[in-house]
Amino acid sequence: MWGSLQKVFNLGQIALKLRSLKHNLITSNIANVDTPGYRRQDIPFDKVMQSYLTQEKMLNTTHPKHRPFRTRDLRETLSTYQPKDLGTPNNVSVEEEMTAMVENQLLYEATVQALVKELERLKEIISEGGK
Amino acid sequence: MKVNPLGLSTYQAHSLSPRGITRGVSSFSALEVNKAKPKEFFEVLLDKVKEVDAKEKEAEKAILDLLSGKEVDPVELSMKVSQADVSMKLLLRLRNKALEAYQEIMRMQI
Amino acid sequence: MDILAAGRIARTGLIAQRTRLNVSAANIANAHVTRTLEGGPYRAKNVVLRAVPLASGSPLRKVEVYAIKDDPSPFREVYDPGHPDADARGIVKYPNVDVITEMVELLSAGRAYEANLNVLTTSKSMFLKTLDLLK
Repeated sequence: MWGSLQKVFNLGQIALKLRSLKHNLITSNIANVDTPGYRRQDIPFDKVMQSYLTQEKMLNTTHPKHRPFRTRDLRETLSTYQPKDLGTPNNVSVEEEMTAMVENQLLYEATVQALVKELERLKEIISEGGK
Repeated sequence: MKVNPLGLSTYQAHSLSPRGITRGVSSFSALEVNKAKPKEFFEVLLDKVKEVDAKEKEAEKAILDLLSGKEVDPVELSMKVSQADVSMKLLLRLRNKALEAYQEIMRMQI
Repeated sequence: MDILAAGRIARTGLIAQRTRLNVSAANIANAHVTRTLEGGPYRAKNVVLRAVPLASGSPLRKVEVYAIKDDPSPFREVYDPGHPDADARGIVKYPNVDVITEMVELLSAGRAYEANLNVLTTSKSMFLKTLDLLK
C-alpha cells in the first residue's frame, strides 16, 4: 500500500510541475497577443505524461529516488511548437488562450485536491491505526 | 389471527393452496438450504477488507487517470474517492470496536 | 519555473497594453492638430512590441515595448485656403490618424489588458490552492 501512495505522490508532483509550466507558457502567449511575429507555445500535457510513464516502466524504478523530472527534457517537445519564422503574423487568439488557461487551472486544482485527499487518508490511517 | 408457523409472509402462506403448494414446498426447501452455511465472522471481515481494497484500487486508478491527463469525469472521480475514503474510515472504526471488544473479553476474570 | 513567474509575465503584459492604450488615446486626442511645437501636423504614433525571454534559456516570454515609432504614412491633405495653416497651394495637412483604427486599438488593448488581469487572478488561485497541501 505504501508503494502505491508513493506512486501517486510522485506522479502528482510531476503533474503539478508540468501544469505550472503549461500555465506559464499560456501566460506568455497572452502577454504577447499583440507582439508581431510571435508564435504561441504550449505543451501536450497528456503526451508528455504518457512518455514519462512509459519511460518509468522501462527504467523499472520503484524506489523513491526517481530521476528528477527536468524541464530540459521538454525542450524537444517545445521546439515542435516554435517554428522559427518571424515576420509572420502572430497566431495567438485571446479566446483560445483564456479557455486553455481555465481548463489547465481546473485540472491543476483538481490534482492538488486529490493529493490533499491522499495526505488526509494517510494521516487518518496513521492516527487511527495507532489506537 | 392466523398463525404462521413457517414464518412465511402472508402472501406465501396464501399460496399454500392446492396449486401453490408445490411452489410453497420448493421455497421451503430453499430456506433450509440457505440456513445450512452461516458465515464465519472472520470471513465476513475478510470480505469487507477485500471490498474496501477494491474501492481503494478504483479510486487510485481514477486519480492516476487525472494525473496523467486522461479525460476524467469529476463527478465519478469524486464519488469513487469519497466512497473509498468513507469505507476505509468505517473499516478502521469497526476494527477499533472489535479490538476494544476483544480487549474487554481478555480483561474478564474467568 | 513556479506559478509566480506567470505574475511577472502578466505584469509586462499589463504595462505593454496600457502603453498601447495611452498612445491610441494620444493619437485620438491629437487627430486634428494641424500645428505642433515642431511645426507641421501631429504625426500618429505606433507602439512596437517585442517578446523577450524571461530568463536566458527559458521558453517563457514576457513582452517589452521596444519603441514608440512615428507612423510613416503620409498626412491627409485637405484643400482649405481659408485655414490659418494652409500652405501656398491652399492645402492643409491633417494628422495621419485614422480614428476608427485607433478606436479598434483601444478595444483590443482593453481586452488584452483584461486577459492579463485574469492571468493574475488565476495564478493567485492556483498558488493558494497549492498551499492547501500544507494544511
